[in-house]
Amino acid sequence: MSVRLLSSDSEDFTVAKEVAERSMLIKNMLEDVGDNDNPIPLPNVTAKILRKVIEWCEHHLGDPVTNDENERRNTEIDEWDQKFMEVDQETLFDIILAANYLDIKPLLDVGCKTVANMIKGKTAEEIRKIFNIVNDLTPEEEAQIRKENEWAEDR
Amino acid sequence: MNALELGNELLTCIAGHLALKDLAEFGTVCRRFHSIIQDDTVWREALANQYGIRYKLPHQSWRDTYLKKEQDPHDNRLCPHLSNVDSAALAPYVKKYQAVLNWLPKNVNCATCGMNEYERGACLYVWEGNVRLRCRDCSYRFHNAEPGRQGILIRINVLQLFCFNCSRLLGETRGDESEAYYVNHLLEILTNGSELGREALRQKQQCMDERIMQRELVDRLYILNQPYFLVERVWLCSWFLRLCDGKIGQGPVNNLPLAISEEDDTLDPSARPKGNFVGGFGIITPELWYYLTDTYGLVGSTYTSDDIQGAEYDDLRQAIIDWRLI
Repeated sequence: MSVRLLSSDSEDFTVAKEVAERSMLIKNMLEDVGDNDNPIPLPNVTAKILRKVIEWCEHHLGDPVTNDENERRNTEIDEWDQKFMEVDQETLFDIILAANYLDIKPLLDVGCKTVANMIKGKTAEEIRKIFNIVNDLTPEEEAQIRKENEWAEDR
Repeated sequence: MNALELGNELLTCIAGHLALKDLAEFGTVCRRFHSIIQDDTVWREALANQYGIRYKLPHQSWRDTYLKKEQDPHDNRLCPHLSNVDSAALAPYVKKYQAVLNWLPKNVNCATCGMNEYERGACLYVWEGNVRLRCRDCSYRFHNAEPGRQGILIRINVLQLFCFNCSRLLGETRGDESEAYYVNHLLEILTNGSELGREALRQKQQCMDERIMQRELVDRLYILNQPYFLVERVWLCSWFLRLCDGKIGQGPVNNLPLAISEEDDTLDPSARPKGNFVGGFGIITPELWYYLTDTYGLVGSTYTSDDIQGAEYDDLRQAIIDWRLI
């Protein structure tokens, strides 16, 4: 059984049903419409990103769909996923958005953990540089926030 | 595309994977990021991601719960494994528990070794729908049979929850309030409003209350500053041991062994504090004395600090001083 997916830029992908069903969104759609040959339109995902997402789903096809929340949340990113996530920032954010839209929780987790790892151990100024964020806090406000953040000190 | 375009929900997901110090820096980056760590959601995520804890007290914030967990690296107060048990995971065990309530004592046997477990308490090991009734030892063997099992043990006769990973009773004197709250929530589900279940819950509550009394109102130095009561030691010890086991006391307070003889109920001057022997005694506050005698009854006589003022009790009073209570 295969399923056709249509990216926002009208590229047609044919993938195995089990692969497509890693996405809860698509799984539910397939249950609603039943078997038919029409492609499923995914207006929020470009072909470039959809290709990446399908690659991820194919690699993780054998993974058990775990109900254990702790297992999902607490595990480190495995090596394959680390390599998979070695992309430019824009692509990384697009994968996260796509995983969220398609409702693929494990991929969303991997994406979020990857971004979190980029932040770990960095100062606020370094974080701004990494993500190209303009500081819209006044120096007074920033000082105030730092004061409020005393809970993070000396622990 | 910029990180800010991810939207608050996804930024919260990301921040939820940060440790405390990183969260503080994250919150100082810009106004949006600051608003994210001001919201309690990110603390719920961080608590679940880093510590595996998904319960809290209703009136407490996730942030405060997180900060409490930061102080508990060895899981002595907030058990993470308990989070794996929720009403869905518990459902099969509820049925089993209700069934066991209606069994005759002789039928409450360990499904693995066959021993009768009515007195010691048969257990349900809550792990992925495995609903066999076992003794504690067989449950432990099952728990260890495969690495990574994170089940919770329910001793069904006394409704105690035990975690093999944390190796302690959950929701009891050592645990955090939020853990106790969640344990009670689970027990409410398990007992499911049945009459026998409600009675079991009531007894558990009584046991918990008495344990607190035992800790605070027995054999403490401050008790000597006011009128106090003497209780025969063997009864006091068996009461305490039963409480530790999750059960309430048994039979009336028995002060008979403290009397000089069957005919003369005067306090025997050779009675001594501490020790678990006949003729030993403990001291308790009036509050506890009236509670115990109302609840369990009394055989023998009442002995208070007023009864040990005579010269014949000099040695007994000295023994209390030498006891070095704290």
